[in-house]
Amino acid sequence: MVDVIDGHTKPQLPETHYLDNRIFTDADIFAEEQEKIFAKVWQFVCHESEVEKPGDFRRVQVAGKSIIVVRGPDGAVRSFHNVCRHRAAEVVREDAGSARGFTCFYHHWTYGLKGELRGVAKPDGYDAVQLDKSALGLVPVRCEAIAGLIFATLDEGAEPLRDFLGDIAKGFLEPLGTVPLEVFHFHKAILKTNWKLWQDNNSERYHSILHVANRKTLAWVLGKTSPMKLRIEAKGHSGYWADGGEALVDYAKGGYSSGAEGALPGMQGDEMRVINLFPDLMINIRSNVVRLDRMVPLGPDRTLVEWRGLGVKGDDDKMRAVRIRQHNLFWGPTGRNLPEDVLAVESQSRAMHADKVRYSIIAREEDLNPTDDANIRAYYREWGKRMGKSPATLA
Amino acid sequence: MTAAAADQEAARDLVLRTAMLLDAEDFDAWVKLFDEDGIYELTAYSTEIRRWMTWQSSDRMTLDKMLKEVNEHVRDTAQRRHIVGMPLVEIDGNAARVRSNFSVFRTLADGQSALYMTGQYDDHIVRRSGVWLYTLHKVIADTRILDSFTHTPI
Repeated sequence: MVDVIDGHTKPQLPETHYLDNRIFTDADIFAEEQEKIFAKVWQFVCHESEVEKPGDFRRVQVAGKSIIVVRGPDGAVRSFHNVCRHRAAEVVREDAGSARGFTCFYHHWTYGLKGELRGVAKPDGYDAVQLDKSALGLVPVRCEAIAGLIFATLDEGAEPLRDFLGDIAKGFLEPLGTVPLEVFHFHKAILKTNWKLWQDNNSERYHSILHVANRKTLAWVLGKTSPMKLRIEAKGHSGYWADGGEALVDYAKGGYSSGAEGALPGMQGDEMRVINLFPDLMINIRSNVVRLDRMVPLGPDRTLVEWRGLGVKGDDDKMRAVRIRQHNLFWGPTGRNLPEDVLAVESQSRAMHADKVRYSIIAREEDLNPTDDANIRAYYREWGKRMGKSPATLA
Repeated sequence: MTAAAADQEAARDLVLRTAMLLDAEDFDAWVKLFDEDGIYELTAYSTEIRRWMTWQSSDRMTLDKMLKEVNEHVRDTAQRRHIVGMPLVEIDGNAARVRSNFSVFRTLADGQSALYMTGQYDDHIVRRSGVWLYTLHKVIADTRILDSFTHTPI
């Protein structure tokens, strides 16, 4: 008698070591994530250099809401819901710009850079009702910054950003926060996949075996252990990097240019550091250049991903070219690795929607070697806590 | 045909041949269209960060290495087809600037086609021993949301 192979049989593993793939495909779960995760957490919205001067603004999406991030005349960065208090039209209709104030295009209500309602069109019409302009400013959204990264949350009761991040911030405070950086690269794509699969892709390290460039430059990909270790912190945040020694990327072995020149503070020449913040910010550092991935989930199988590349503000042309080259080599839209990662996560999404294999296995235990699944398990523990259900059993 | 007309035609021929070689994935021949110090650039303007960006800038040696590795990558299997408009050629002795609008279509294995990228080539070419070669083959991409990323030039 031959056993029937059934892709819906639960793996014989602890519940923490597998996932029900419907968390990546189910429309109800997706809607629940918007409410229980994205409307509650701190989310990276843009880098400080994108709103460098008073009046500079960005329009971003947080949990499906349009938000304005703007630097005020006092130098402070604030954020507001992008909705006019008059008849609820969007006040800002560009992705970015510089303004002395905001005028709603529909009926010309005007707002200052601190969100205050400055004026209404044909004000005499409100004399009879004594309209109180002081109560009709743009609706504020909580906004805080760390190491140049601006975060916003829709939850008025959320803990302070620094508490939300905890010790994982130690991994990026020095390279990102001790010299002024600026965004030199931005591109985006709508991936035909679930947002968590993109975060997983950046979190689990053993898919490096997929990338020819990594097979050539990272000895540990094919070796047994690595001097780099996973760092598991509270609230689903994790990362991996080394404390020194051999944890270098051997660019020369792959025939690529070195990333050592102009290394950021706290980074060794040719060091690789990866930090994944719950739920959706990925910080990748290759010694002299930073990549930030931010996601806007659009549906269970549609995710807008924004990629930013950062270098040091004030770089001369030669140094900037070095950083751009290093960034683009792996992470640009024509880079060595990014196209392969996208193919992988879109392939997963197609197969998961067919529902012939119900479970994903996250069971590697390797004493925090980068190929351990411990960081993925920590991420889904946090997901389960916030969603009020197990990602393995959905109960 | 006058010498000027012959130069115009040769410059247009270079641009069209470039696209044909990419569609055929004849990368060895494509790289040979560059002058010794020739550069391939892919650029775009970001409305989000309000600046021009260089998505790729590669010399001949780098291009050669990159393209020799193409088949080592797991990559998009869709067929790409370039449609290049009539190039505008401005000859200046043994050098020229050539601008051409282009579109690249992507056809999946099941036969569905979609626009992949549209933009302009803004090329600088030079005549070496009677042959026109790129000193700068520059892609200015209008499309910034790509359906699939690429290991091959645009």
